[in-house]
Amino acid sequence: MAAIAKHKRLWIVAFVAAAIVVLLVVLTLAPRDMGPRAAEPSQVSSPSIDLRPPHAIAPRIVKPASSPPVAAQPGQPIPPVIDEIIVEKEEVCEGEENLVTVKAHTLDGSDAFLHYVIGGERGTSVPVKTYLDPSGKPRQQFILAFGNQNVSTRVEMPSYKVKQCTPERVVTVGSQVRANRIREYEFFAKVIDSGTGKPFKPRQFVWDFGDDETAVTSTGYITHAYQHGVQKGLYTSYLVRVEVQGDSGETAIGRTSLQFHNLAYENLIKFRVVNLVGQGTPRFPVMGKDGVVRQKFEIWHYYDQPVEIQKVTLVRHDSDARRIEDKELDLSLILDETEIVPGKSIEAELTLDASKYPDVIALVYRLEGTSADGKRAIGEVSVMKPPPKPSRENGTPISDPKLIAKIHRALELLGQDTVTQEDLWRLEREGKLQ
Amino acid sequence: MRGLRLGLISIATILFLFCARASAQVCDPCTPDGCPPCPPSCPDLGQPCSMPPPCSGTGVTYCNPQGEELCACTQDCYCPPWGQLDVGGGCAWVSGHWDAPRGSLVLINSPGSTIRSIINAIGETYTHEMVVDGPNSASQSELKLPGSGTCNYPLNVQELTYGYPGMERSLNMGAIYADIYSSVPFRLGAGSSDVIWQLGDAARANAIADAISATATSDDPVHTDYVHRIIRSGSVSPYVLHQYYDIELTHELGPSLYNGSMSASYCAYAYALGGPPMSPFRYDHDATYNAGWALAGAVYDGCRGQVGFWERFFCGGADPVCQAASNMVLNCMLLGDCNNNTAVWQGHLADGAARAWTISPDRLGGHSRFAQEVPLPTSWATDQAEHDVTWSSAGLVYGCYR
Repeated sequence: MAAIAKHKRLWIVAFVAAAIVVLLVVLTLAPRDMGPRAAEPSQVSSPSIDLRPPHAIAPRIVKPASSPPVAAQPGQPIPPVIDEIIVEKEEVCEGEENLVTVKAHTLDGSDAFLHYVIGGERGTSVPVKTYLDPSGKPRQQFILAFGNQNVSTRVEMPSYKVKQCTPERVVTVGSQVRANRIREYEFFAKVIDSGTGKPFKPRQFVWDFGDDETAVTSTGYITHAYQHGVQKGLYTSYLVRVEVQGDSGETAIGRTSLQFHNLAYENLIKFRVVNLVGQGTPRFPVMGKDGVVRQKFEIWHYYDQPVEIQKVTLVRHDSDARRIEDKELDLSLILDETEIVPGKSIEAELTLDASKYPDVIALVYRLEGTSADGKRAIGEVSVMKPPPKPSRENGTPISDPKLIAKIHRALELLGQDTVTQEDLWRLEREGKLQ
Repeated sequence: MRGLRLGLISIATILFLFCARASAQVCDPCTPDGCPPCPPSCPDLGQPCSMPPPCSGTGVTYCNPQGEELCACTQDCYCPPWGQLDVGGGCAWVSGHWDAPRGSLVLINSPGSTIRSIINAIGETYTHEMVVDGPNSASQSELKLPGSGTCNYPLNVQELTYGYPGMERSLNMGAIYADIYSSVPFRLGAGSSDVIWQLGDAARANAIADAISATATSDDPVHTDYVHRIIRSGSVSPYVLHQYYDIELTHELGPSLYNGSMSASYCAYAYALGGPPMSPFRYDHDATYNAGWALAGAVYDGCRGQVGFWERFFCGGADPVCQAASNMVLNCMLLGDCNNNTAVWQGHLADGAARAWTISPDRLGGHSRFAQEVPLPTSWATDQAEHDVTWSSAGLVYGCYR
């Protein structure tokens, strides 16, 4: 009997323990208040872009009250004045985007240095995501406006309600610069469905790059090149927006902020020098059958005055990565036109003859000129020698069977005799190397 | 706690395996049950066949889901392991090059870096940097993110204190290319991404590269390559977060906590190897305060997005775990104490005397707040041209041969 009672007690203890575990699981998995949605569904019947914010209500404009800023020490720059902050939504779920836009000015004429950090991210207009802290309050966020030499004004983010809920779906937008391209980006959009509503199957992605350029794609991937316009300040910001249209008419919106640091403008302020930049086509060098690499270079500047190129010098970039000046080139043999007007570019076909330069990694074409208002203009472009096809003699053998399988598959898919790291990444992203 | 962790892993693993088995679909590829449509039929199924080289053996033909006729081995079967498949051939890679000259500084402005929250909060631009030590190699100090710990100490204390690998040189072009462009499309954060180099005084740059090449290393094998960890003051120099708050004497080749470095303080160290040292910058209290709280927020938010079901279940939710992770990182950075999960850093940071004394990527290159400094902070900063890095190939080039 005692043994039976002992067994009975064990069963009761086991049952109670199991019940507690089940209860905990149920409590943890219990659906949360769904609260407001990421974006109110709106029918979009054509690929035209609706630039209205996803909520029908008007954004709130907040004018921060503060006394006029002063310099920390005499002679130092004065922090900027924040004029207004525009908040898109009055309430959001945790982790849901709320677009916040800042307008500011400077008191010492240094608006060209203005830039902002909103909720930790760079940009003039930033989709802010907020989470609740352990006490259930939204985590405190700030807006920073920076002026000359990064003197800053800080204000608290205007309050809006953050609810403990999950948006029905969110669109994450990522970006990445492309190698050997200046201000050309890959953009990625991904719909994350919470699984609480109707299944969402993306039909098309409508992109707005923030520079008056738009595009429509059937997948969440696109590349976009920003124009080489005149740089009027140290920073340029864009808000990139993608509207994902689903099969059954619903839409979801994702955004990201892009901020460029205008290096040419900084060098103009720092050295009073106009920078010339260039990029080649094809994007990576290819050795011709005659042993010559040929690339067509687009060359431009970001200054608001025309620039005349007056001198081109060849520089050898040797196999130790040292640079040795070679010779001055006949300008007329290199360039058909020598004047670069603001916002435009000129073209030049540049070469690297491997038989004449067997020991170089690259030939650097160093450009010099003068702007219409007398500033020195400098820049350079490199024609590089492509790596040889890997062989038993020159390559590092690969023993990883997974990588070998991927290389074989990629070679087959692309119909090439070599593939690059970038090819493998792209094919993996497209799910073709599974 | 260790026991609990192991328990969590076992339970999760068992459940995962159970679920994976339960959800696995036994699927005939040629039936209309959600599987791919029927491929063209193979004409001669079930015929005797020999295994194609490098395998050997005999069997019968069968048809795979793609409609290809293959040999299914039934007798005297042998295939060499994958790694030996290159008996008559094989695959190999060759490295591309960049056009950054020897001893130049490479600056990277990259989205998705946790450090970016600090850089953003002080209004600067670049988030990472390297020093070129050859036509296809670079040196730097970087951090492999620490592994997970317990509920109360969610980050591995040892790995947070002595960040791996820290200072390293002769990093190959494949690793560099992956560091800069690796295809992680949905990283936290947003922004542009620039990769530039600055040379300035070529003689000084060459002296820096010569000195880096002459450093002794401790070589750790990783896969088929090595991580060449630079020996500094007799031992390796781990990645130490405290360097963001106080560079100590790293920039003068002097001592620092745990002999530590971070990306910018390594470049300052390399700069001093090649000539007179540069000076750090004393940030004001506001900038230091903003940077501290920005990092705390970035760690907390990043953690919130990563805490899984079981951590939430056994650690009482994501909030305490992420708060502890955030506290650990901030105590590590501000106080040099990575084994502390309390909010003690908040009091330290609130004190007006809390002002960072360090070197940032922008300071190395003479950008943003340092662009108008006289004289410019380094010889790299005197480069007057914009040099966007040019590559001879899109990372490593792979090919196969017979």
